[in-house]
Amino acid sequence: MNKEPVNKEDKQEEGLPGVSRGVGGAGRVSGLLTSGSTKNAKGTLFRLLKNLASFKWLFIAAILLTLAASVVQILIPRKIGEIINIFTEVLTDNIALDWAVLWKISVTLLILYIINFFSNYISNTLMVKVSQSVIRSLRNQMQVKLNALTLNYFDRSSAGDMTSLLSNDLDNVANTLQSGLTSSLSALVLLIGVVIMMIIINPILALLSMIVIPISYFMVKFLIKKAKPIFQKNAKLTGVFNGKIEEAYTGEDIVKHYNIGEDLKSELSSLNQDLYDSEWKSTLVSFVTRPAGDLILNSNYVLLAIWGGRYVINGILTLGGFQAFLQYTHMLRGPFNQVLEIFNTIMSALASAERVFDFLDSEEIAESGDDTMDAAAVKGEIEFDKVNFGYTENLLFNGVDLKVKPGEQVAIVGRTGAGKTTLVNLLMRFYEISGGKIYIDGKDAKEYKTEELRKAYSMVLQDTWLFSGSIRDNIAFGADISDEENLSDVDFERIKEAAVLARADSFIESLPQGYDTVLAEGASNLSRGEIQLLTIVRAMIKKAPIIILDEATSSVDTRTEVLIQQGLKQLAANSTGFIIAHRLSTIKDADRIIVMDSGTIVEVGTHRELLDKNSYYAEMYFAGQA
Amino acid sequence: MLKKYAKKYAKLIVGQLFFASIWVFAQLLIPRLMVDIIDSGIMIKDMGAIVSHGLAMLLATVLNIVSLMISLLFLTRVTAGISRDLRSDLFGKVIGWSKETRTGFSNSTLITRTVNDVKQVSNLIDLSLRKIFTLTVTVIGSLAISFSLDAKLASIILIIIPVIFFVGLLLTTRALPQYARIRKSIDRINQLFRENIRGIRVIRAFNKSDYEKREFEKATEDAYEANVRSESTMMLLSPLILLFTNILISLILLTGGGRAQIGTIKLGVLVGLIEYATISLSNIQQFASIITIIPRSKVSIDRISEVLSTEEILKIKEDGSESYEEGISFKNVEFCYPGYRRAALKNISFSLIKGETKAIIGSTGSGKSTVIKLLLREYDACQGQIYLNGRDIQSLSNEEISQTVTIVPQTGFLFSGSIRENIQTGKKDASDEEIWEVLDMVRMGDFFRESPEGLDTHIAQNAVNFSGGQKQRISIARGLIRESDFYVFDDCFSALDYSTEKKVREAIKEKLADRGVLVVAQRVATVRDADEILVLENGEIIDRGSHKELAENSEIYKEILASQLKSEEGEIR
Repeated sequence: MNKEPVNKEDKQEEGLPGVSRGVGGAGRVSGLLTSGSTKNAKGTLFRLLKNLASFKWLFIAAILLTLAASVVQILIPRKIGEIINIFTEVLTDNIALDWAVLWKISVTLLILYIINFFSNYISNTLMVKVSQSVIRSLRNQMQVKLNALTLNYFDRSSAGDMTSLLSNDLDNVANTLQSGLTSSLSALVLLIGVVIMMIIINPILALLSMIVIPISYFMVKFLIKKAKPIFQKNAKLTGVFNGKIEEAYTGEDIVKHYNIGEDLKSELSSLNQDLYDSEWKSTLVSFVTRPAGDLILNSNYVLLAIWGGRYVINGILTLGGFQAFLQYTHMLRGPFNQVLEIFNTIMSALASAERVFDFLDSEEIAESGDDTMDAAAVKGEIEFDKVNFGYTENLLFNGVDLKVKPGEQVAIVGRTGAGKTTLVNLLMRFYEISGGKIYIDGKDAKEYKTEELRKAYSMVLQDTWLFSGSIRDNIAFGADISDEENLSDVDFERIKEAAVLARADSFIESLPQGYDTVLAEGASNLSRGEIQLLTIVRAMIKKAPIIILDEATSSVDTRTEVLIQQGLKQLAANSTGFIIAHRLSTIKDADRIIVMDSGTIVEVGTHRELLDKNSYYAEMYFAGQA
Repeated sequence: MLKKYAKKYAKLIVGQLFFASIWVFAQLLIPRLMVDIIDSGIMIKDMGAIVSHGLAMLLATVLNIVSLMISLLFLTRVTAGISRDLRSDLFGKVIGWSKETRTGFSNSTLITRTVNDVKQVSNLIDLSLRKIFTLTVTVIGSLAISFSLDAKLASIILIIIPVIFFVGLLLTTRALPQYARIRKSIDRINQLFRENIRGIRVIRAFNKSDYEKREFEKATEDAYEANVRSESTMMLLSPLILLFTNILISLILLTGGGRAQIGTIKLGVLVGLIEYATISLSNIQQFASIITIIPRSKVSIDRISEVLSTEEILKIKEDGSESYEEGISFKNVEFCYPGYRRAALKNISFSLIKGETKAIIGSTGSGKSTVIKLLLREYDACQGQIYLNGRDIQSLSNEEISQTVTIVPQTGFLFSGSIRENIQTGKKDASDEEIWEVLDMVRMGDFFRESPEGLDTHIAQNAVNFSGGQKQRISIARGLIRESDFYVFDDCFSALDYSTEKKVREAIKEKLADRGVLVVAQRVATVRDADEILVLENGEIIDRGSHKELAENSEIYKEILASQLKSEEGEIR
């Protein structure tokens, strides 16, 4: 969080082309410090350009206009020099001012100004459109990708890393596309153009002004190398401090009631003091590199003024040429500083783009059949036929067979890792089986389109995810809606009815805004039990022939659970049910209990039967009773 | 608000502004010297004058850089200093707040305010002192020198500056609302994406991928529009200023040129004026881009002020009523959460003395944890009194309460650091021996004995390297090492399996035999040995008695019992 030691404000300034003179002295070195590594820069660049394809002409127009603006900008000082020369002649040789020539030059200048203005403005706006369109499209692609990825991908990757792709990497690409690309291009053109003009005016002076470039470059490089450990230290301290703050705030119960607030404050204060120390040092260092480079450029400017002045006196150079030359020296400074940063900026953007593309290339869910399903007509007969499956290469399921009759209530029990959740994951086709078949009403589930298949199921998942939005919308999330409908189109009566059935109505109504209460992200304003109740309501609103409950009531107290189950029973009267639970109260009424251990079904029967068998289930049962 | 914080750094700020002024002065001196090089050097072919003015220019350049560095030395101390003070005041304020005071501030917003908002404010201070000041001085300085060079021509610059300033202001104010919109839509995009990742299984189970896509596209479209709108406004600014600058230069040249014929203007002056015009205008341009940052900082300042101006609501009363009873006693307590319609607790009365064990049992949302929050004075009761060893809880300091009552909270929160440090949060000077003793009580001793680092075993942030049950047990150990009259266990056995819980409970019973113990739980097994069990339902004590009595007479208790299978907690493990 916020570990970047430099702020972004200078980026904005750099992005603005134009006169780069004045108070821009205290620049910073963000681009130079944050370069990334790229495996395949060329390929990534090519792919990024491919994303630009639909805006090809806009893009090319923007580039051409940028070039035009830069060329014009180079011509302007030259023309002004011509005017100065006319004045010099008037003053020194006492000849009459030739207004006709002066007007001609002025009109040319005005035309150049106008060309410069429009080409700058139009190219800027075109680039904004192009880059924003590309970013919008990349963002949308990423989101679509999210819902096309296999669940294995989510098992492997952290949510923070994925979000960072969207918020940091894509942002980086956007900024570079929008301002970096054109401004670096114009900087490059300016640099080359200015050098050519300087050589035309006076090659010796031009050579003299080039000498400082490598000196200044190496000096800045050197300073940055020296500065790096200071930045790293600051980033590290910032991280430590932020972590401590987070703990101090989240651990409020302990902090307050164990009366360690004062100790903690003094610990934080000393960290804060260290942070202060590293913060001002790193800010100072980030400020200092640019003026150090400026010192060299400025000294050079003075040198040129003296040297050039001598040339004018000796008649080698006109005064207009002298003035133009100094103007060009100014113009050199801005692009020069920019070119220093360009390489790193582009490389870091490419590294970001590559990470985004890697994500977009990740493995997607396998193709499925395209049969549709009439959920209302499904009877709910399920059959597993020699099903093989593993999360990794090692198979967890090896030829699992299971047959469930329509309307049957099946409980699945077993130790952690036995494969209970896996069984329902496969039913929902969250993961693809690697062998065997799963049949619904005798038909191979693979023949259905995945979305169609899921219409047959209503599920309460182990993870109690709710989104930030109203309670009402969160419940409506369970209902089937068409592409044109919104969550708010779901009838309130249906929502209320489901909530009453799941015993959630009374707690919802006691909230300040009732059903319109807006949940914070992560539903932090509700208790765990309340969150779980809502997930049950959400599943209840979807009337499906097969119901899956995966630890649906684990956070609800046992008495409320009994009440919820009465509601569920009402709902599931004609449905097939799969119930995963570890509380006996939840399972003992099931028609059949399936006992699993390390991916295999070890026992099947009713509670009584299994106890009488006095084997695996009985053992677990009595262990639980202790 | 910032004024107060700046005061402490008045000397540094004055120093910074002083050296920044010198910096500007030197910066503006250079073109002025160029005027002299041209007029009294080049034009009259005096090489000596060129060199001497050139050397003066070199001196100005060095002065420029040196004063800049000194001013930055001051500046960075000011910005880092104010950041430090803000952070320190923020955490100083927040740590120790009661939950009642905290209402409306989530942890994440408090963290953001202490970290990100402070950063934002420091940016603002940096900008005000470094940029806004120098930009203003530079513009004024350029104008002053221009007037001293040639008042008539300088007035052209003077006329055009307000024009540009207002154009800049106009464009900026038009773009500003769009910036707010951009920030909002980006937040929304990130939030939707984050939620989509977290809820991936639920979204797939309910076939809501298309819905999520629609919502997401709405947000990206919004971001696109706001960006294009604001940028196409702001993109006008710099080409426009460039155009103005160019036109201004031409105007100066043409008007000045007319006078060249009469000989009333010197060429150097003309060149100098062009230079100063360029400087003024480019400074104004920078001004415009800075203005866009101010509203964002304003939001941050407001968010910080909100925390700093929030005072602890629950004051310590001087004249609390007293009671002769010893121990903890609740007398007809009624309570309602701020903003909620329904009373969370009604007519709660009970007492607990040393040597006694009492328990509270009830459904989710019955108000069990609320009783504990009132006992720890996280909130004040609306009616009724709570006494701690005869004194009204409202007249006790947090320190006094914490010395009398030890709470073991539900969550099992642990700090990052070693296991030793974590246990020592309970008792600062606890010896290793004492720590092992409490770890053994919660059946975690062997676990750490087998760990190669022993008591130095590291606990990561959020204790991600420990299971829920382990966290709860360590948290219980941390409570047990404390010395106090009363101990409250707030549903802190919930992640323990039955046999471990039983062992831990027995150890606690032995250790705390002469203390008062209050247990809050959902499991009957956890509470059955208590001297008295209070059955809570919808915020009221509806039944009370021993396990045996309740099992016979209490309908609700019987229901709870039945739901947990006969007299035992039934779990398949």
